[in-house]
Amino acid sequence: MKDTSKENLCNEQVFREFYKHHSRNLFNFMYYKCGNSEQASDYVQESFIRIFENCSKIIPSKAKSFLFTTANNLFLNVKKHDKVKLSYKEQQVSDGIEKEDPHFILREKEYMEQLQNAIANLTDAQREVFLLNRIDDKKYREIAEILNISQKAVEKRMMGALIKLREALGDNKV
Amino acid sequence: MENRDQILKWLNGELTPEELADFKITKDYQQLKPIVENSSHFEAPAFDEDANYRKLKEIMDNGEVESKESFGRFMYLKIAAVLVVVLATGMFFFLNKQERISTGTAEITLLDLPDESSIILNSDSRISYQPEIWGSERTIKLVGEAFFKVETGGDFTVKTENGKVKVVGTAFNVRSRNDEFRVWCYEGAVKVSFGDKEFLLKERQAFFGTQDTISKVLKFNEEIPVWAIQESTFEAVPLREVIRELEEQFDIEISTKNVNLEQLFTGSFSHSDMELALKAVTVPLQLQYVTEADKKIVLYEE
Repeated sequence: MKDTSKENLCNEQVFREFYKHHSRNLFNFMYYKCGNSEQASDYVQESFIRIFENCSKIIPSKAKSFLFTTANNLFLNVKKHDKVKLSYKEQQVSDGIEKEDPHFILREKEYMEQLQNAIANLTDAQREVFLLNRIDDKKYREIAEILNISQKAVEKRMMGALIKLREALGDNKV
Repeated sequence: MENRDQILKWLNGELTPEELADFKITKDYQQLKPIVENSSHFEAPAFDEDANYRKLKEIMDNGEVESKESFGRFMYLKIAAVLVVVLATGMFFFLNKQERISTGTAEITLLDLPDESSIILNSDSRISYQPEIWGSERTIKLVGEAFFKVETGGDFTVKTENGKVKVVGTAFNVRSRNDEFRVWCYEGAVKVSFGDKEFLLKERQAFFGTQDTISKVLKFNEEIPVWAIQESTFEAVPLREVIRELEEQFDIEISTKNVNLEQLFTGSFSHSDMELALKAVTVPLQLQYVTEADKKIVLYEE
């Protein structure tokens, strides 16, 4: 008989690997939903505890989906959430614009604030799809798997987000 | 938007260089480019993976959550299982009843174990043990720091996330916080298991180990850990006894005038500062005190 105990999530090594692999992603995902990093950490914690509680029942290949679904359900039980705030990295400036140019820096700051506001005003469903793609570099297939919806639905939300953002930002440019 | 398919492919990184070149001249691209590109510069707040994992592991290791076994699909099996669970839980709770004690920040607790051994639990620490089987197995789980005074008997084991300490009868202090693991032996001898190594500590020897550094054994002099003697706490204790404790702690003599020695005192005093300690006791009871001579204090009521 094949010894599967080494592979299932009750094994600490396996569990640790699993945590390493998914905790940051799950945290981001939850943050895009609730906009509160403490709450997001709690969701992460609680979801991994559920995984551990059910470690003997979960097929390893389904564990990721179980994890994200659990977190999602936990979130659905709490309706209220904060406005999602994002910080941004200093940008690499191209097109010959001097980075020190105060006008440019101000414009950039304003633009990023507008953009961040527009993202916060997306529906929860649009925002999480859009940010998972933009910040976490996730492909539609993977997002569909995380959210437990079809790839078509992901694409629809993505387009919805783009249309709304374009409306909000208009012809503003950095 | 006219170029729906192209836009979606673009964001999914699926456009070939030729398709991308064609797409770049469209109005959609011009409008979406700043949105799409700048959005990638955002980031979610920091997430401390290691710290969060440690927290998680502490919860799991303390048996606050248990992994459940799955029970078949069929109803009768489920019913049978429920019965088994009810019986097993009963047995489990009878035999496996966990006693759990924890302390918060700036809180120290003194506990007596079933066999007269005692523990002083430092702040932000937790212990658990099974009182029902204490007679045959003296095992305690510890997170944080505690001082143990162990009555002679069978093996007495302290388990922590970092390592294990095994003794027969002695006094010792264990600190297991994050990946720091330290053990001080005050009386007798203790055996420390850390990783795959074992260390025997004799009286007044201490063991220091962390995951990354080489473990070492050192000598020390104190009689009892400093943290364990920093405060005396009383709950509805006659003033007479509180005064005795003050005298002992600060090596002073206290006499009283017009003071009811039987009145009850609830509170605590710090061992670090005598004036502060005297105030901690006298102010709530509306008493005054004067220093009459070196180490001689008089308490009186106005």
